Amino acid sequence: MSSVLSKKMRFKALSLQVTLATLLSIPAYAIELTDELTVHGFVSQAYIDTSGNNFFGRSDGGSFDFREIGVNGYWQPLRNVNFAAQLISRNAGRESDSDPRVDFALADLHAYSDFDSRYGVRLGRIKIPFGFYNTTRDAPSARNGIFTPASVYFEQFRNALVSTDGGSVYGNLNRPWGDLTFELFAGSSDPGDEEMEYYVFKQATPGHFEDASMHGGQVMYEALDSGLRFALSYTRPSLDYQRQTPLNPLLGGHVISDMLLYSGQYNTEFWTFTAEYLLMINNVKGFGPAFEDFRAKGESYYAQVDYRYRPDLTFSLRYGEQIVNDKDRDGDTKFNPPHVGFGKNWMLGMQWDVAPDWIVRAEYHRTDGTAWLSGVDNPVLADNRRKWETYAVQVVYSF
Amino acid sequence: MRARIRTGPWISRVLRPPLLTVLLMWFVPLFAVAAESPVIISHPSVSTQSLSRDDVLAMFAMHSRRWSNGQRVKVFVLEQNHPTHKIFATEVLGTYPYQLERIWRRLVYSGTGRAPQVGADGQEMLRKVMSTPGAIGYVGTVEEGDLNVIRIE
Repeated sequence: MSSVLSKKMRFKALSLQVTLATLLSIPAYAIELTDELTVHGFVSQAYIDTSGNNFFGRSDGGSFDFREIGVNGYWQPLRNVNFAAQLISRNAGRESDSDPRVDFALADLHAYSDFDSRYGVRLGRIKIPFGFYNTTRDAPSARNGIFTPASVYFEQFRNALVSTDGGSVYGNLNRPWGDLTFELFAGSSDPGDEEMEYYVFKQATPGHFEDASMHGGQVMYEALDSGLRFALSYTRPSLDYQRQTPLNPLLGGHVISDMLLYSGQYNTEFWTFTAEYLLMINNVKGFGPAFEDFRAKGESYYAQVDYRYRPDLTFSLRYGEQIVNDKDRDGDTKFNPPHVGFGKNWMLGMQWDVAPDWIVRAEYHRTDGTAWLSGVDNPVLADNRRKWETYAVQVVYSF
Repeated sequence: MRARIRTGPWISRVLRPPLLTVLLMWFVPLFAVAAESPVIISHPSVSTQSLSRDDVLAMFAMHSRRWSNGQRVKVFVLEQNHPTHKIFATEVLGTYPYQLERIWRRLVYSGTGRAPQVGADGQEMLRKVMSTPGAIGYVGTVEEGDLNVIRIE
């Protein structure tokens, strides 16, 4: 009996060894199925511990909720056409419950392409080009930390902003002075179940927001030799509210936002300096006497410094701030509790690129204000803590 | 088989004067050995013989996707930690490996492009570039053979 058991254990140890060896020998880069078809993917797992509020899951007291799995393919069967698609399962609180979703699925028609210019059209579900990180905010190895800076890439709007069903026209110019890309898009996006209601009304309501109509564009300049990168992005989400029942005290109103984002970055061998500034004008209209019309200007920004101590070890310091209404920067008059009206965050982070395909990150956040907390995960505003801390560790595998 | 031509200490001393180096490289382009700086190579079907540094940078950043004759560009690089890749990124392209990595990841995970194909070492790089029409890549030292070397103007 005991010999059988030990055999079993030996087999288990062996299979664990085999699994580990296989995992470690997976190609660090894409799987090249053919010259025309490549597959990439990622898996991330985080441990997040917050004091007081829930962030990316039930993190108050510590949780392993935040997890991302993604796989994508790029296929170019014809000279002037390529297809690309990505599936993502994201577990980060109740609005992202790990159900796989199509992050993008598009056909890219290359209308004109020569050595220094490209023009084309993308159709299908496309990523919204907004700032430096919106298109890759759910790809853990392609963003600047465990979380994209919450002051600018706030979670309440993420569902409508990550991707949109529609199309875009793009152009790319390579010149001796640098590379210039522009993209104009239009589409419709699902704002999620309740997050939008918390964002506008600070509570769940009997009705719901219909699909957001999205319009906008981006111009990006990049000069790799000088290390400079600038972008100007504009996005205009427009959402209609459905009452659902005549008993709903809210009438069928709408919300239109104008979001203008300025981005800049400077890269040297050891340092990267990044700053993004968002101006957001919200127009909320037509909800009747229960919810007064208003127009508010919000301001957000962050600045981040990365220092590459070694090629595989980077330290980061970031400060970010979000003011929901610039007429009430402390939240005293228009917000209840006042700390919903702002968020101020210091982040100290470390990234270790263990191998080309493995990343380990650790971050400490100190936050004053609750502007970017998910309403769905923190439904009782009065219970939220104004000052809170976050400790987070994340392991990322990507190929 | 293929003769690898290396510069011994005496020849590097002789080659040190830049004018002489340039002259020698002019006469024997395929046999020229650039021990310090990687050499850009392409598939024999590529007719381009020289490019500016900006052009090469645009190709390895995956911005330029066509050769001047309309042929599709297929980019090959060595692994991120390969010493030749580091030298290529900094000295030939004038940027850093982390910058290239960032650009490629952005393309891959946003559906707007693809990353270069990766060769594990110089031998694999050579083999892949030689067998892929439209390919561009680089190696630490050029070997004798029927591949194209692209000069940087």
